Amino acid sequence: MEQAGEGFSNEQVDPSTLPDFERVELTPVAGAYIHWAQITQSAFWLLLGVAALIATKLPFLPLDGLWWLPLPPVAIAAIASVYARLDARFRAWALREHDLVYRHGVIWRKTVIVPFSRIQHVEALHGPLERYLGLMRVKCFTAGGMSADLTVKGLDRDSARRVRQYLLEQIAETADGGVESSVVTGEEGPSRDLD
Amino acid sequence: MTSIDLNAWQRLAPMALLFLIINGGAKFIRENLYAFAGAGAGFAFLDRLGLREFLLGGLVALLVAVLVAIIYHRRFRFRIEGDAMRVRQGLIENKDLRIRFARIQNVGLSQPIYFRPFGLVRFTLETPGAESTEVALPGISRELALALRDHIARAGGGVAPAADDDTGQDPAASADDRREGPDDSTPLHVPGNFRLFLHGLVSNQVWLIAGVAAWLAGTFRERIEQWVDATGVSLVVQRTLELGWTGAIGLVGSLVVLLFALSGVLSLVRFHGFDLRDLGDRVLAVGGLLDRREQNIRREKLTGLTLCQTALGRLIGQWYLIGKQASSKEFEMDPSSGQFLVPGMRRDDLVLVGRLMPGFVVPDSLHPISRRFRTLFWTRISAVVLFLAGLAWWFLPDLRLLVAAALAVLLVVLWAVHRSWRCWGWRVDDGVCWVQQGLIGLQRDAFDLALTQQATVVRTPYFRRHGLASVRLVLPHGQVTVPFLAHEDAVALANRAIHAAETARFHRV
Repeated sequence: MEQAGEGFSNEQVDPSTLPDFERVELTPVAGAYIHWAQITQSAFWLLLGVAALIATKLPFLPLDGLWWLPLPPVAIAAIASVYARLDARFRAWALREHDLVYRHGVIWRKTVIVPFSRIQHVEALHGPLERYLGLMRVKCFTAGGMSADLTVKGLDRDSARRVRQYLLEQIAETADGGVESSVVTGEEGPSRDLD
Repeated sequence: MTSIDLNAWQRLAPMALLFLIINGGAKFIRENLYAFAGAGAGFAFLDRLGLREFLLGGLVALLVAVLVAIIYHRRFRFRIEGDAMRVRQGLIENKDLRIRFARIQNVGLSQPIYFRPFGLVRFTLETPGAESTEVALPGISRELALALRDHIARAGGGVAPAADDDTGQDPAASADDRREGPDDSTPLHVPGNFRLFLHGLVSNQVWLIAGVAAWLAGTFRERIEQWVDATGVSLVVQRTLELGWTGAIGLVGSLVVLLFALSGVLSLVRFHGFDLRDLGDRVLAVGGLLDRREQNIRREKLTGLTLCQTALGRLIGQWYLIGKQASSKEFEMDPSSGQFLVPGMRRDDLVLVGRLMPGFVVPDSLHPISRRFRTLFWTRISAVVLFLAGLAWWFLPDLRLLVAAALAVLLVVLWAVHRSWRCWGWRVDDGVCWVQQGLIGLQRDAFDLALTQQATVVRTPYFRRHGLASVRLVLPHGQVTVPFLAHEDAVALANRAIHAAETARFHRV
């Protein structure tokens, strides 16, 4: 729907002719993502298991007979590790001419599509472990609150940089009216000059 | 009307100092009321405090408030700078804010009753990125406020600034020119006092009042009892209760009627004289008895709307409308507070939707969501309750009456699930998407698909087994979800939303 004005048209669109995001061939995340996901999701429980094991060996703690204490956290760590593996298997992404498609989730499988013309700015970031494993995340900010931001995890560093560069170019192109759209995209909030 | 140089630094009106003190005090009380009233600690403290200490403390607090207000008032300055408004303010740290007119989505003027003798108004600006009001000028002359409002409307609101360019005039210097008044506007909706009163009855405000009343009654029980005894109300209540069940039911009924009447009166006070007008590129809403508020909204900044009909509203056929705008707010305690709300609409007034948002037409019918919604919740809820009820029936024979009551509640819950399923609906017409949900009341969200920021298709194992999916569309004003769609419908809706966003000529956020 377009506001009444010059160039207004309202022709019928056949939904079957629209580009289908389901036909896109998605690229799986980098192989190192499995290690990153396994480590980050099970590290806490493994540490808890080790702490519980040490606690049962300490003479001044009345934990005699509780030899099984480290088992629950270790079991959770094992489940988290399996879950991380499945998560990595389903996680994939793709770039189309005008949008970014990202699929993730094991039980709730979500496919997110973000048009370039709606991205306000892009961030590429990596933590110490990601740096070590050669991974990078790309975060796309759109309007609609914090929950509207999309983080594409599991890209290798080169892909992430290329994706970020591509997104920035596309944002600039759409902001210049390179596609048919966009006048105010890419703007940030109100400018503030703080003394 | 005298000409005002908007390019020069302006200050708050001298009388605004008094209002800063009053507002500061009111804010302090509002923010600390819970702490004060909590568990009666505040009253206990006051009771132990002597009158002299109390007065001394109050005097010190007043001096501090006056000092703070004077510093704030002295440092507060604002002016027009080219295509933006600049505000300098601050108490401990200085804040220098510059807001471009293109980003402003609302200009608000409000005139509390105590401002009127002095001809002052409170002027506010709102932008999509801010969590609260971006700029508030607490106490400027009405003339200055109108000059600012009109200048912002001309410079950023879509009214061609070419006229100013042709004459070579500085737009800020000619703030009096082309001021809009009621003459060049078209009335859209004037509901009248009776409908505004009815709005109070049918809006959910009455439950809020009941909640606050219950909290106050619990917190200040002793003092209320003392007051009730002193005024002789307790005697009336006692006499009424002596009449037995009839008296008790009459008493409760009177209380309910009182609550509803109070809600109606509050609505009347809030919206008194409500008048919605079409100013071309903007809409103007004016209303309020004690606090006369004027909302000046750029039409292009409206990103959607919600039509609401509460359970009581359905009985008497009354709706209200909430205009949606881009916001960084994730959650709101009171969805109607500070929003663009149009009260007192009847079925005939629903054409207003199309006049506010061209191209929006309230659909007569909607596509239902899958029956699996009802089946899923019916089977899961029934299975759990029946299993627990069976166990209780077998092992706890003394509680069989309770089990029977639980089964009766289960029937009500199953009916509620059915109602919820019946209320869900969606439809896309000419690029405008309508999504309806509710239980006893109804809520219809409408938005332009071209404003979609992102689309998500979600499939759970249950959805995958039964060929279903949910679609979540992120919009500048929040998210809208359509659950339990056939998979192909969900994919088609997502594809359509993304296509609309990618081929839209403008991105109005």
